[in-house]
Amino acid sequence: MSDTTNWKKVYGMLILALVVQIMLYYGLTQYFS
Amino acid sequence: MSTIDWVILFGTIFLIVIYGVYKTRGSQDLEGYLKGSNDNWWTIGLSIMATQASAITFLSTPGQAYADGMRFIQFYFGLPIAMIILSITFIPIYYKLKIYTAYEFLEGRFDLKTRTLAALLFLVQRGLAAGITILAPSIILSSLLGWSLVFTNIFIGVAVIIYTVSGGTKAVSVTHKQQMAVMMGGMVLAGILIINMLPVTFTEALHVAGKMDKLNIVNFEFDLSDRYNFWSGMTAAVFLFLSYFGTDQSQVQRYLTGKSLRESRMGLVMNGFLKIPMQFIILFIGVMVFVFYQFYQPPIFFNKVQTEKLEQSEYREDFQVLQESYSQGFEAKNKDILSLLEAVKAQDQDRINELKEEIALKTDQQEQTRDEVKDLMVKNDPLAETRDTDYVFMRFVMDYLPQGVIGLLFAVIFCAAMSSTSSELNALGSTSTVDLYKRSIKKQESPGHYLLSSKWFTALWGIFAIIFASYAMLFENLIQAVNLLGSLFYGTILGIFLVGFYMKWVRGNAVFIAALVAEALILLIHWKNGSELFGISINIGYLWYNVIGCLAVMVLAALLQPFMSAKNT
Repeated sequence: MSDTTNWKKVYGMLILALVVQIMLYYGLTQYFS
Repeated sequence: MSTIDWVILFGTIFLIVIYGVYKTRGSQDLEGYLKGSNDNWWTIGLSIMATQASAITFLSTPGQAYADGMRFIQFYFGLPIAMIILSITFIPIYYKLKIYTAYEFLEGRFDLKTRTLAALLFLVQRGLAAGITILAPSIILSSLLGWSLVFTNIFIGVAVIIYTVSGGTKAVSVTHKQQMAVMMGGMVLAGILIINMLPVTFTEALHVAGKMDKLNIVNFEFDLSDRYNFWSGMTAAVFLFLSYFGTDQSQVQRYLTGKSLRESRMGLVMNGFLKIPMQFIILFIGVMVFVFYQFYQPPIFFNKVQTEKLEQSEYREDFQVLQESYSQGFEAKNKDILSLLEAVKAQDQDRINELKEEIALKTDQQEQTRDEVKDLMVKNDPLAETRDTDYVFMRFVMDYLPQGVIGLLFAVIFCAAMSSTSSELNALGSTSTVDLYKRSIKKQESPGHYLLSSKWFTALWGIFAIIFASYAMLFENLIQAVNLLGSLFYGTILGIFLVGFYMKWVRGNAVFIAALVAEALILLIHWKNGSELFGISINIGYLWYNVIGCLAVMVLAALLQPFMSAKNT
């Protein structure tokens, strides 16, 4: 069974999710402090 | 606890143990016992997460958020990056070599002694950690449930030994699904109930938490001595996670159960997506408990056993005086918090700042009162444990959550203890069999013999963990004790693997000597941390041990290699 997964896209999504979370958490930190 | 709580607690544990044994009944070969049964990616992902989520995660983490805010989450920022590196580098090699344990790779790449060294380092570190994994919840659960510590250790240990010995890797992975469902279901329910119980709106709760420095989630300031900030999370923690997920057999064994390389990779990616939100939820629950206790007076000390001792001691009058002072302090602070919410509504920034300072001052005063209570505890009993953060969450659960939910949350803690312990015992048994017994002691036995010895090693490690748990002492903070123990050894192990993957010209002898020197260096640094070493003042967070150990192995191995004789490689 060959692997047709676009891994670059998967890893890119993972990094994007990380960046979005850090921005969100930074926003929370700043807004409510 | 009510009858329904006991039924839920014992029912959950009993069903999981029975399910694990039932699903893996019948004859099994060595391959199936050690490698499991071709799991799909989400089973792998859940199993990886269940392995990492120990009882300590659910006991210490909310308590840590209660006392220190949410900054601990930054430790996990490096996890998705580590998942990507592992997915690209480590897993394809493990798949290509068709190995049972991560350490087998080292013999092919270097030599037998390097493989044995890494396996031994793993066994020491993980064997002790398995003891702490059982001990940590036992201390708290035995105190809350009124059980003896040794009985609680045996209860958790034996439950895990039954299905892990009987069904091996497959039993570990099938029970992980149920355990994760109980853990996440229980925590989300607890979170919803806590938020509903707050006497203020959700936004107001966030303002209270934020103004009292509990929503300190991200800090971009660079400070080597600070355990948790953005930079340590993105660098030092990446090394820790690379080592933990890439070279610790208790994790490697989880994704080697995959149906294919793709499924294993996707399992790790799933962990990368879900781990930070999961930790966020657990920490956030701790912060919401903190906000709750700004409106309802918290106990002066969260471990009831200790305060009851004090109430029956010669210091009871002093204790009463301190309790009254604590109550008055609470009421005064509560008034300020209500005024703060008014100021937030009116958007009066000067008043907000003024009240923040006032509240911080009163919080300090209350902490001083708590310190005085702790002094009394020590006077009364010099061995009294004066840290109570690990008790915060479950004490809240027992005092305020409804019947049934209490039992469910105790089941969460027991499931977490079982999920991580089962992976540990499974990995300890496999490594003992594959890397030591089968490789160096009894080389020519039948597969049936090795299957039986795997079961014996798993059971023996379980018994060792129970005995260790019954004799070990309580550390400063349980989750940190486990991370510290990991950090002492992980850097060196990771260094050996990275040399193996990326420094093709380095051979066995050089990496072996480099690993021994690096491990000695880490132990020396830890011993001298906080004082001076060779005239240099040392004060570094333990997470950096991973980086130092790993880089030390890589640099030393590169420097030593030219001096090794050509024959010996």
